[in-house]
Amino acid sequence: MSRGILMYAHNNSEIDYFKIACANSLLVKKNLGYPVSIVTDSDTLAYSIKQLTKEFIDNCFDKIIVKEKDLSFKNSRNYNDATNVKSLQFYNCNHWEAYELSPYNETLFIDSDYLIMSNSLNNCWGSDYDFMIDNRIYTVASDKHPYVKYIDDTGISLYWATVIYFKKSITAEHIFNYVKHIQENYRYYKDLYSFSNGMFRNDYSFSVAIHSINSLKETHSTNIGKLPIPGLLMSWDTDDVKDINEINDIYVYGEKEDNKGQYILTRIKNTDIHIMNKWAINRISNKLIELYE
Amino acid sequence: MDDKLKQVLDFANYRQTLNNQLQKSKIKTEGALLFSKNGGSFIVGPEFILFLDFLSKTDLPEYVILDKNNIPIKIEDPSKLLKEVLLRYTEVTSSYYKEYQEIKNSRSVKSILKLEE
Repeated sequence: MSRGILMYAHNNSEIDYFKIACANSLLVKKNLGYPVSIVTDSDTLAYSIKQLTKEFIDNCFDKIIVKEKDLSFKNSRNYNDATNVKSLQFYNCNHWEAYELSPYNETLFIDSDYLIMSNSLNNCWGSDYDFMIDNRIYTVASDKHPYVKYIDDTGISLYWATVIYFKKSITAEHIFNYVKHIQENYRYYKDLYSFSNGMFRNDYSFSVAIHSINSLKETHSTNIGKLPIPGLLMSWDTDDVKDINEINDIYVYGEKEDNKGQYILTRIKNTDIHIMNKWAINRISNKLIELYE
Repeated sequence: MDDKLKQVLDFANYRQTLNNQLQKSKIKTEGALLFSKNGGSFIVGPEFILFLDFLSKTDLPEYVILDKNNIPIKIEDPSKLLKEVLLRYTEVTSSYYKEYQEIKNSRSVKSILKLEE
């Protein structure tokens, strides 16, 4: 049974997602020891080959799967760099294809900015579940235990598409097909489930898909499980990375939840972390590559 | 700013950093005590260890145990699993103890985070 990690990377005018994915692939190889494949578009790939060299990229990735952008898809988001904000294109509409595109029987499908700094996700391999996704998160600047957020005050729980485990199976295939359907009818589902803003989010699509496949209940399913971790550690886009100390050891400024604009410094060691501040992760990607290569 | 007030605020900041760092260490430990075997996921702790110890002393035709999600998982050799689980428990708790003491005994934010002066 083949196993591997899948990431997506589609650059926009200012964020080099591909380089971030390269850096993270080196972390994955060090900490999980499994091959990494990437889905990207030809423009991103051509730019990256020029910047990083083909030899380096081939070293990072087992397979490079080229899927051209759908130019009719317009999705912009506000990219925060702590206190600075900029609106840029955010191309994230093709995650529903991950099931078909993954070359592995068992896949860990992760965001390129979910830095793998431990081996805890190796607990997924060989799972009895066909599909695993999590709704529990905790944050850099809070001492709260992992908790669940909801899409709406009276709505369903929010599942994070940041890390997904799936096996090639009927259950996983149905979920990804449903995600495709939700994406194609996003405006309808946005109104039905009261999504908070207009930007297309895979998190919302997967949350609705899970809810639907669980017969519209917040219930335990025999085929869909939570990841074998306490929760996903999130660093919001108003946070910043201070420095990389050494392997699997970084310092992050987390914005205090009860005191916006004030920060607390946290040391994150041997724990996977989702760095949402893309500018911050862009700034450290060279150092990550140097350290882990 | 009043000196006393500044001291109080510095102390509050130190306490918040301390609690935050201890919590991160605690959650990391909880994650490290999750153990996967034969498709199941188990919480490594005294209960699981004692149960495996008990099973390893019995002579049953087969061993099936429930994981943390109540999924039945077949185990071939409970004594071999016990050794693996015990090793994981002792490694993780020793590491947590060391980290916990270092953080708890730190008297400044820099010391908690092991920042260089």
